Order: sequence, then C-alpha cells, then structure tokens
Amino acid sequence: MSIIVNLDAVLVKRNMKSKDLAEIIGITTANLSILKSGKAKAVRFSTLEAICKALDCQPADILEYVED
Amino acid sequence: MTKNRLLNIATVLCKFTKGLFVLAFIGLTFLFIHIQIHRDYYKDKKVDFDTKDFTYSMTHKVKTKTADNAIFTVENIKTYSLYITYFQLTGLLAVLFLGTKEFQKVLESVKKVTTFEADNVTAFRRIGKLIFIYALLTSFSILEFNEGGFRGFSIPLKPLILILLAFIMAEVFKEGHALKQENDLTI
Repeated sequence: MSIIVNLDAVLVKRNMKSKDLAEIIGITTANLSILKSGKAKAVRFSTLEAICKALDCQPADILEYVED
Repeated sequence: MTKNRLLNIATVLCKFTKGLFVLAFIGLTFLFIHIQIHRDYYKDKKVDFDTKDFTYSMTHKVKTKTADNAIFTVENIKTYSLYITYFQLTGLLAVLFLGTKEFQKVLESVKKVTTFEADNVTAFRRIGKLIFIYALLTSFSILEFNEGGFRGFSIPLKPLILILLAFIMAEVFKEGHALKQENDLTI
C-alpha cells in the first residue's frame, strides 16, 4: 500500500504505549494494531482527530504517501 | 441473531433431506445387489422404463416375436447397464447430498451472523458445480437388455438456470464479503 502509517515512530517519540493510546482514543488494541500494520482500509476523521489530539501531532506526522 | 423460525425450519429440512438421501442410497444399493442375486424375483414385476423427460431412440432390437413389455424388463437388463444405472443414481444422490450439505452450511452461517464470509462464496460456487454434475448425470440414460436396448438423451434446462443462479449468488456474497471487510477494516 502506498500510504504508510508512522504511528509507531510517533508513539516512541512521545514515549507512549499502544495500549495507552488505544485507551485514550477509545478503540481496541486490535484495531490500533490493524492501523499500525497498514492493514486498515480506511481511517475515520474522528479517529484521526483523536490520535492527533492524544499525541499532539499533525495528520502528516502519522500518515505518509510513498509511491509504489 | 434473534430466533428466525424459517431459517431453523430450513436447517432441519436440510438435515432431514440428507438423511433421506442416505436412506435412498442404502435402498438403491440393496436393490442393486438383490437384482443381481435374485433376478427371478423380478420376473413378474412391471417397471415402466419410458419417461416423458427423455427423447428415447431405440439403438437396437433383436427381431423377435416377443412383445416390447416382455423384452424391457428388470429381469432382462444387462449387468453392465445395471452398473451404469446404479452409478448414475448413486452419483445423483451424492451430488444432492453434498449440495444440501453446502446449503445447510450457508444457512448455519447466516444464523451465526457470519453471512458474508469467504466460505459462503465458496459454498455457492460448489453448489453451482454440483448442479452442473447433476445436469450431466440426468442428461442421459442407457438401458441395455438381453434382446434390445435404448438410449435416452435430454438437455436439462432447469438445472442450467439453477447453475446460473448459484454463481450469481456466489458473486453477490463475494461483493458482500468485500463490503464487510472494508467496514471491518475502517478504524
């Protein structure tokens, strides 16, 4: 997929665990794992907003477009 | 899922029908063996081989004064013809049994609310293929007797329509599965 999810890198920078982020934004760790692994087909704006708020970052810090 | 009476009845009917097919297979095998062991038993038994579905053409008939209804009897049927008929009917029962089993699987998955799964797409494709085999098996009839024989051939239209329907259903479920996956993978 040409959209890369850099959530892991941002989590490391913020020194936060996936479990904690999942709890803050109100999704399951399984769904967060799907998002991190790039298996997700789509991301809701509400989820993206919650992630950005929790990690104090911009959507571009999490999502990156890479040409195939 | 809330109790769906119609689905429950359909599942029970599938199980019952499968049982009937097994019983029919046992009965058919018993008859097949019995005909070979005690041919005389069928001497006076009248069986009408002619059916309206087939276009029969008599392949050969030995010139004899014997009437047709005395030539075309169970007692006079050739062993190889008996084998062909037995395997044809056994195949039909197997196909019907497997088709019912696949349909039952689909019904049970609907009850478990796992309707749009890849397994159901495969099940409908399998049903389509099984109906095709059914159509092949019912398209011919070969009956050879000691003093004659006839072969029948017909193009079964109903199964062909059912094949099309089964494959359309497989495509519908495939689209449903894709939609479900998209929904499940939206975070």
